[in-house]
Amino acid sequence: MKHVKGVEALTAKLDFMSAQVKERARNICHASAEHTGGQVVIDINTQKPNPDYDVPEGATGRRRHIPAPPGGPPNSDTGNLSARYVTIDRTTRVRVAAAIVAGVIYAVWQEYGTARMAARPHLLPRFREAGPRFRHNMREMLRSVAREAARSKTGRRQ
Amino acid sequence: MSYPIPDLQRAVIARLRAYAPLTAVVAQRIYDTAPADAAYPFVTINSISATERDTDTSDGLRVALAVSVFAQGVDARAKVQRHAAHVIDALHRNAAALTVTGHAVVMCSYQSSLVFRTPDDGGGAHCVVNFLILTEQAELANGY
Repeated sequence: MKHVKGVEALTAKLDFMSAQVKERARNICHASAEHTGGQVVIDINTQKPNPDYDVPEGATGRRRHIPAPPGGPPNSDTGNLSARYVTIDRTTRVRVAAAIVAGVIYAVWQEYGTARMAARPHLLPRFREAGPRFRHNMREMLRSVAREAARSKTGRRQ
Repeated sequence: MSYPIPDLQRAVIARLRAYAPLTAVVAQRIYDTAPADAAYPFVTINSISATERDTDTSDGLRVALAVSVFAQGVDARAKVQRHAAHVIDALHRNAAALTVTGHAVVMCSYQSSLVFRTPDDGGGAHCVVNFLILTEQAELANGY
């Protein structure tokens, strides 16, 4: 009967890689979501009002708010929209995920527009922008874990 | 490379306006930007974003196209999803139906959709349908 050598060490390495990848992917995912969410909040808080907008005659209070130009991020009125953006870690046993969540219904109206109001997309453009950096970080992390596992005999960090 | 997006948008609108099951419910109310008094239900182009997908031998674009469908009434969400299904049927895997001068539409594929309520005109619903379109320049003028 022949014995295969090194199975234990290989199993230990794979276990090491699996745990490391999950932990580091979770960190990258969460950091990317935090960064993207932060950019969204900055965009809203620094967005200027539309210079071509005319406040309706007789408008008082909130109705005197001048919205941002369509096509870009909305600007701040009460500060509620930007204050309600939060990042949530949605990692489970079988997946790594993070979500950027807006706690107000009108965030989706701003993002996609409505039948009578133009869209002011603010989350998706930043999300798309974050894609290449996120993929790069993931690739680098996988390479780094593979290198560490290859260097180690048992899979443990040296 | 000539920029195919305006032509592509025209082709999408033309395709939707020619798709009988959709026009049976929205008539010709398929717009680039809807007029302020557009009657319900209607369809608009929501957003188009393009990224470069050139190869060594051809110029190409990866286009994310979002189509919006609006409806109104107590069952607005159900209506809007039925109309959105027609939009999907008209475009999904139907690249051949999109004619863009100087470019080949290689792929038009439904990706995802999102339905939500809107506060317009006493309550309505909005469905955003996302498509992925790949285009390739039909013939490069000077090699590449």
